[in-house]
Amino acid sequence: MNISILIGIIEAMAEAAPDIYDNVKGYLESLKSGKEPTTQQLIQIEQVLKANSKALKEAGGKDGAS
Amino acid sequence: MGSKKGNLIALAAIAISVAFVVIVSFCTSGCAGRVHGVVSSVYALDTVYADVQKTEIALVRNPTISQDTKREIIVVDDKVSSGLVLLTDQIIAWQASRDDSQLPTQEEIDKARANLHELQEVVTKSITPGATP
Repeated sequence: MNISILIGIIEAMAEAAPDIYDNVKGYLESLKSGKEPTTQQLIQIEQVLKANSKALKEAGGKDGAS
Repeated sequence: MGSKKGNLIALAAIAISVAFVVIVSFCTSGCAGRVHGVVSSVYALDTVYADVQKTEIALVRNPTISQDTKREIIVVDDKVSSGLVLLTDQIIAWQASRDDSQLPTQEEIDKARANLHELQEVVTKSITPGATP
């Protein structure tokens, strides 16, 4: 399968649900450019993951789920 | 009614993210070299996981979801989170040193992907209409 078709499919997904696919945009840019993600992009996504995990645990703890 | 619609949207989001992981896995393994494939795969898993986390947070905040389900989500999430953060740290270290011995192995990436699939299954099960509150 051609890589441009794959990119098109992923782009369509991201456009169909922009609120859900905020984080996919950075990956799409890397894929389209053919370059590996930069250290800055990796640090940013890692920070998002950590912040989300913290929010998840806090929300769980609030409801007695932790 | 609104809740059902919300559940359907969340289910669609998870289904699409599963498809996204499959497409990205194919793409990074079939269209790129070993190193680029490893770096892109980890970044792709990170981005998909970040999106799944949004659904997880909404579920854990939802008072109609049972405490057992919330606990299960948090336990599986912890496994995915620790694995992917470790892999991402390895990639960051590799980018600084370009020492290939610091790259994650294919087995480690496959394990992270399997854990993410498990999380997607737990989340999908939790938002299926009619799930036990």
